[in-house]
Amino acid sequence: MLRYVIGIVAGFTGAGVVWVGLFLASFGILDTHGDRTVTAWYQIKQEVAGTKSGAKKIVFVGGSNVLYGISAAEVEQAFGMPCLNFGTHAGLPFDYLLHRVKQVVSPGDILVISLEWEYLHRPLDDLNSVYTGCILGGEPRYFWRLPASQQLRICFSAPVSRLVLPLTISPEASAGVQNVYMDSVRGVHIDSWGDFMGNFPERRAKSELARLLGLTPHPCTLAEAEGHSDFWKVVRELRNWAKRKRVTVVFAAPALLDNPILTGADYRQIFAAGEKHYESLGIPVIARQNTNFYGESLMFDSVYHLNSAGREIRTKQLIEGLKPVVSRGSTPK
Amino acid sequence: MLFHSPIFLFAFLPLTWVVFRVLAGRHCERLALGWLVAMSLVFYAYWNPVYVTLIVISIAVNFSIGTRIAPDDSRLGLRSRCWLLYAGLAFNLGLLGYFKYANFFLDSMRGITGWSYNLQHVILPLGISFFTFQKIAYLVDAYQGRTGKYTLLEYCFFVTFFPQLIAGPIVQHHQIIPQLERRETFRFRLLDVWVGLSIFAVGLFKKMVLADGSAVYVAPVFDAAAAGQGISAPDAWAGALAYTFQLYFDFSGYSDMAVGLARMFGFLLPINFNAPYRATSISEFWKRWHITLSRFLRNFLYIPLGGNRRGMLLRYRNLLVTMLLGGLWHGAGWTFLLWGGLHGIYLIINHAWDSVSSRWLPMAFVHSRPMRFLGWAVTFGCVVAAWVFFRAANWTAATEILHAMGGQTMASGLAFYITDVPWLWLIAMAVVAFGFPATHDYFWRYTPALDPPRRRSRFARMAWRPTFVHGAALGVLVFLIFRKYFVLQPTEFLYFNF
Repeated sequence: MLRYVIGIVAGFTGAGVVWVGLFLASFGILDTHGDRTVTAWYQIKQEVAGTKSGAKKIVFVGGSNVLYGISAAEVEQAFGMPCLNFGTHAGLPFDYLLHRVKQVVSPGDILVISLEWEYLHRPLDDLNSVYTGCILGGEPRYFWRLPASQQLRICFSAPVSRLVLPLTISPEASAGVQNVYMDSVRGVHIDSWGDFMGNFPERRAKSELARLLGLTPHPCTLAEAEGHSDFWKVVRELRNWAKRKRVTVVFAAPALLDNPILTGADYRQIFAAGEKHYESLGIPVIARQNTNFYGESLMFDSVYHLNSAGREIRTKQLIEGLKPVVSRGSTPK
Repeated sequence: MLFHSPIFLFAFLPLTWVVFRVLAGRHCERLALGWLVAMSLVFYAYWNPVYVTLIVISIAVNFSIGTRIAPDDSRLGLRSRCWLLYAGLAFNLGLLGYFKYANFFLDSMRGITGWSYNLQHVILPLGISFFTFQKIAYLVDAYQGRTGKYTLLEYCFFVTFFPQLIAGPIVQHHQIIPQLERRETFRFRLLDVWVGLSIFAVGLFKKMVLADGSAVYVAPVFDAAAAGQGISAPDAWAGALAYTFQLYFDFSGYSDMAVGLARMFGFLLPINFNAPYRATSISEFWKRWHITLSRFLRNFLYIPLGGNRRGMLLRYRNLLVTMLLGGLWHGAGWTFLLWGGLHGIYLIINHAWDSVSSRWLPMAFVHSRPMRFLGWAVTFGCVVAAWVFFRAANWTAATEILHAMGGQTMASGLAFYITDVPWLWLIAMAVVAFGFPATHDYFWRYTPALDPPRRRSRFARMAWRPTFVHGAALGVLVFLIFRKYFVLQPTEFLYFNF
């Protein structure tokens, strides 16, 4: 019986060692289309930021509502100051978005956060394959900054398909593939302002759009919007960081589909409460949700994604909202 | 309290086991039994304390009726005993009917007649379908003189013993109570603990790794169908197959855990699954799937209806009625009724084919390898198609998926299926379900459960022994379970809903 017990311990430990070993060996290797795409967006946007360093700039950060729905090029033209669209993917935690954007923001910059409402509802340590794939493949440094509990979660929740990667491809070979992929994205999907280039109205798949628009999102509850969500801790940390770095932070509501549920009284109450809470934290709201609903003809492929026609309208609104902020050039209260 | 929740694993189970062992070790068997009954009620109360009253009242009523209708020492006449039996059955079926079917009945009435009656939504007491059947079987056996002189404590233990209380296996009094009369049941044996723990770990692995791993491919497909969205053929197949494996690993995992837990305390429970997806006919499938339920339905429904004794047509009617009620037992919904009806029809076709083939075809051909393979493929396909009704939210969603499986769809793939992961996963699940030994086969050397199949398994050579190699294999499974605690919150067992 003792041998059996020793066998259990040995099997458990051996499996654990193999698992952790393969996990660590998979660092620096990008796997899925999602990992590669989001990492390529960040790599290109980081390059774009490099070309805009030196002068004060406006940086838009958020999920794909920013990527699809804001034209940094037009904002740059309107204000004559460098602009950068740093929107990527709403599946990434807000803390990670900030980790990435802090690398490109300098004192005096204006940071416009436009976050999908789901952020208020999602736990801070929520994991998904794109996020873990992105940090392990593209930003392993971020992994080591996380609390040990989250590191363990990421390690043990890694799919087997990720663990076998080191057996099939080296980090160098993966980086080579990524460079080729990035070249196919740069100037084709993402332009020199970080804006998305492919969301023309005529390119949308109507049946797919109809299906996606039929899914009603449950962004968050009223209590979460009023402050009872861990999300606000990250917002407070951002506010404090911005004060120290003399960065102006403002909030712009995301673009949303104009449908009866989302524009109904319950949802409006939630959105208004969220905006009020941003303001109570000293973050001005430059675009409110009730002026940011768009008809189906202006959407691209989801309730948050505008097409280029919708983007033009939203960007004009944002320019109006940004005017006092740009002229003031102030730090947050 | 879920078997795989930390509070059960690290608080309830160790406490219950240690105190039981201390009491049993001091030859206080009655006290040890009382402790197990008390802790089983705590286990039940953890979900909803209010319903402990229900189970206690139900035990009191059934026990008092059972002792009065036994022919040996009853002071009542045959007629009174018969009426008392009917009263007992009505009481049990009434409770089940109210808690499980009242809402369904009223909703159906509303749908058909437009008549509206507002009944506060009735919460289904956990495990009521299972323990009601146990009590019905006890009453019928008591009436027929097949029960012994059980004490109230023994009866309470038979009903409430926590490993089988919520979702079976559906034990019968003659399987459990005689074990209490044997002194060695209460004797501590280290082997019992290791065999029990190992079976429990295998069950936990099936639930947390295999069933929950399959679940992620099920919900998107069935939810999309329920929302009226188009489903592509590969998605529909992936969803249906994933559910087929999810349900099997979930429920057989639960049954393994129950068997393992009971064994840790020195008790044996009946096996509930015997590699059902390897069945080469539907009737064989029902001898392998949820064996204790099949046995109950056969003994207490199909045979009393007349079984196969009154000619072919009545036999088919009896099969259909039994399976329809079996379907309804699983859930108060039309889709469950359809599922049961479908299996009834399958069984009728199966028996019709048996009688035709035995008369007109050579036996060597009927039992040839290609025919057995064909039988397996047809059986498995029929079972998968029927599970679609079992899982789907309604008739429309089920037919949407079945149409898509038949290629009658114009829909493109769901966003969830842009990778080939479901197929690799499903292949892995198929290998486990078809190619690996059933749990009782793996542990056959150590009599893991009551009534193991008599035939020597082809997996006999790889059977479990307390050696280093088997320990290491279990250690790997335990690691894979352990890592799941970092990924998911424990999810309920599917059969808790039934």
